[in-house]
Amino acid sequence: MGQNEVQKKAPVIALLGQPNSGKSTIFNMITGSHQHVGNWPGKTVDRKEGEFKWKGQRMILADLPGSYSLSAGSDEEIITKDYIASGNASLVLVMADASQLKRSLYMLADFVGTQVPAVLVLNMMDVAKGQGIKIHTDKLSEKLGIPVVPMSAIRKKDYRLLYETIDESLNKKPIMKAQVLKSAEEKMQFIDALLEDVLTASKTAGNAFTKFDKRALSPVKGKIMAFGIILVIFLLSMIFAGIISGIASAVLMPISAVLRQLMENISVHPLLISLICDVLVNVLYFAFMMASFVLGITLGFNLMEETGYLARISFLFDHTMSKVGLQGKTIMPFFMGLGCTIAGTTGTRVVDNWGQRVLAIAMSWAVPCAATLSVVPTIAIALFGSGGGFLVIVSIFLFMFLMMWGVYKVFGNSLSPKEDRVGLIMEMPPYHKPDFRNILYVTFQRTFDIFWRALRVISIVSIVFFILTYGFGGSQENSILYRIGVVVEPVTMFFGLKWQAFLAFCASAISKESLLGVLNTLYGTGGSLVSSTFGAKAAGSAADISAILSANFTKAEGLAFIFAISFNMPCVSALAATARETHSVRWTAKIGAFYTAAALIVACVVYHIGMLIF
Amino acid sequence: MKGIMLSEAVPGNIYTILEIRDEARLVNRLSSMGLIDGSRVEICQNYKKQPVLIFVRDTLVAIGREESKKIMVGGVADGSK
Repeated sequence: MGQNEVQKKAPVIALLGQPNSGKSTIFNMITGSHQHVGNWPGKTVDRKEGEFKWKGQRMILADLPGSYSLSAGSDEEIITKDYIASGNASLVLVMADASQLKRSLYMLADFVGTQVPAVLVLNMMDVAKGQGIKIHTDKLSEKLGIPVVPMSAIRKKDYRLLYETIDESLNKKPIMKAQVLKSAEEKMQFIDALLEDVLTASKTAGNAFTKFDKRALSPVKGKIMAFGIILVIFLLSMIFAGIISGIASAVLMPISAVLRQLMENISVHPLLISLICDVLVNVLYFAFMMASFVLGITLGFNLMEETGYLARISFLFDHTMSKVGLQGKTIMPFFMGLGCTIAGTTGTRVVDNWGQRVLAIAMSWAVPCAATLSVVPTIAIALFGSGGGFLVIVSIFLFMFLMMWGVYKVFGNSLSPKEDRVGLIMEMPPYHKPDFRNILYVTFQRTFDIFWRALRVISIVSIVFFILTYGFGGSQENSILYRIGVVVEPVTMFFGLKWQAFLAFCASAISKESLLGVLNTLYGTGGSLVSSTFGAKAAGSAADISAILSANFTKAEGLAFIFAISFNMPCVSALAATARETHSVRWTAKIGAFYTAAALIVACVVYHIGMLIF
Repeated sequence: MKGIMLSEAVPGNIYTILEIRDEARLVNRLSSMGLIDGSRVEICQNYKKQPVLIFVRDTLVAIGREESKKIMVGGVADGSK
């Protein structure tokens, strides 16, 4: 096999370390763009590998899943343990945080006794120095019998020593002297004995729990501060997305117009013109808009994670979120979901437990995204006036919590079983300066990933939808979807949805913004259903749409429609992002089915109650 | 010596962990953070409806409210000395 041959030539170096040890920074700094992320076979844990060259020698760097030890039983820990035992790695780099050695050497204590060559990397030497901590690394190396590399992962010049040590260790194969340590007591004693004459000045509680943290972690002030920071990130992302989508539309629309003109001139079939100018150009536009939003929010998330602030958010909201089986930091994805479901979904990556991550995504779907929020008030105000419309919007938000609770009740126990739930036991890492290159790199990588995925899925779905709605011969009555719509109307009417409303409900899977445009076309001046689905920006004016809505919807139908679109599953791009983040199409489908069913049932209930009231 | 639950501990004081009750998983998780029987912990912050914030083995660690009820501590010493 080709891959095996390559691996024989290139030695594999594995990175082992607790979360917050700076493992991912080192991984990114060493491998740069030469990395790929996959799955561990049969597991939902990311498998990251990359390659680099030192003095002409190609080497592979494997980032082992982060965990606090090798002895407990999580997926990450089992994978890491098995990987080391398999002997695939020629060398293991064990990472420790120099600013908190007494604890962070626990991973090394777990590793002791493994007959694999190893090097100890002491990261965050700069933070340690700032706190007055003194470490005799030579003595430490002598006691352990393996090389020790002191460094700061964000400082490029520190890497030379690391590379040289790796190079040397691949030849000398240093293996630690000590025996396997069985109990936690033995491991602690090992660490204490190790550090006895190595750590001459150590840390105090005052060093760790700073004045800033006293404020940042206080119940009231801390929460206000956290909300403030989240809000700023949210707004900046919105503004950023607005600018990008403005640029994208300014560039794409003229291109589309020119293309249309050109193709008409050489008499290309109108179907093809519509496909290219209405569908593909707009699909590209949607993908750009989403990507820019994801970019802004991911950047904010990464900044918070790298500086250590994200752990504080987790702390502040732990008590609230633990009631629904989630960690405190999931408050962020929920908040970000107000902007874009995809951004919220991507944000759950900071949750280290797979089940909890899926549960958080599933619950965050209930949060209406900016597109939904731009459509719902228009419909609500058109049908119920400004007072009534306001009440409808409030009820949507109240219902959102009910929906989350429903998701929790249905999926909570299988995704985050009560007996598996471990409450918050988390270190508050010392604040440190982030490395912007690393953050930007990770952010762009993730955004591009989402962009391509979303673009692919939305293109396919859009083309299918295009074929279904294309009015062969010029009128929409000839489209396939119209014929289906009319046939199923007796059924959808049970949910309070006329065929037009049902069509709009289906179209909202492509983009929620398109809802008004689709309704406008269906009830309005005719026009092409295709253009209205994709050209969200070209939707009819607010006055038109208000007249159309109040003329064609009864209040009960309108209310049913509003609930149906608010709680339907998110757009297909968000589905794609969910499948990406959960590594599970099955779960994405399950949750999607749940939402669609719930949206229809809710619409049905609202409709029938509405009929009694109005 | 009976000790008290960590959730009742007073900020500023230093305690010794006497016993970690309950399942092995919690013990495992705590020990990887440097918390075992006999560990010295200094309480940094302890508000109701928030995790307890402690300093143990060079590290600032947050322990969830429920978990902190399963950790028995004793042997008070004033941290300011």
